[in-house]
Amino acid sequence: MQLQQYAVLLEPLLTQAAGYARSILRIRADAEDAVQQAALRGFERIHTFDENRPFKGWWFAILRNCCVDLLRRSKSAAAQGLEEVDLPASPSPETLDWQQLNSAMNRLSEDHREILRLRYFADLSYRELAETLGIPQGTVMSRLHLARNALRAQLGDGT
Amino acid sequence: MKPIEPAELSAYMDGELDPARAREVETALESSPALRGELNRLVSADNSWRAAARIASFRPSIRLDTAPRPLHLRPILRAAGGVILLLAARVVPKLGSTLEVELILNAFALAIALIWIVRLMTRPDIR
Repeated sequence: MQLQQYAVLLEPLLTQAAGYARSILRIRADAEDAVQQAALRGFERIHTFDENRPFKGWWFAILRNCCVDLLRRSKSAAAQGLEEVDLPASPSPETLDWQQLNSAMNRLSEDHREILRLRYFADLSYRELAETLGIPQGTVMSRLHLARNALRAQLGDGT
Repeated sequence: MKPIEPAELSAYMDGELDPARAREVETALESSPALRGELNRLVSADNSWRAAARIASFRPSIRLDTAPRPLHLRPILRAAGGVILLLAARVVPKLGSTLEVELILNAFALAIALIWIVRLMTRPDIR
């Protein structure tokens, strides 16, 4: 696959990728770095992409690894234990919403947190979730359902 | 008809059930206010979480012009290393003076340095 073709496939994923990376890394600049790194790493490993499988699921698995690598390297945010988010000067209630959602997800088990992040921040389909997480689609269905219940319990039924 | 599992209702909301089962869910929804209530709760939470998650997204500035070509350099480098070793094995025993040995060692070091430079140049840069 040529760089041009790869760029065409990647283009529609970038905005959601940034949101997904931000949900893990919290800091906007770090999220951008992770997406950049995943974009380059994806092309470097393009020969491992099976065209019969969803590109989005394959590439988000790479992005997920880049986020985990970056999270390990940038100890500062984790050490501070703070959600260091670049809030506007006077945050609107809407701006706080994604942080509340993310905080609630952070209180869930890793399996539940991961599938919810990929579903809501990255907008992955069941087939893409199965590809990214390396699990069968049937497991995606049941895990996502349980994860939603757990999230609803965290946020209250009002959501 | 098999009873509708809660996970299937989630999948129905996501549009991920197969068409035959989705029709069965629709039939069950028509006759069960409790099931309709549960679906409404799922949809409401789903909409709210989607809207919240969308706020986190932004358009990143990505550069692909630094992307390395997906060349399979590793086998090329391995082959180059093999050739160098083979040459060294043939040439070194024929060397007489210390100067010749030093020359060969320097050439060998230079070859290794060149291989590393090629590897560094083809590494993906973060920025």
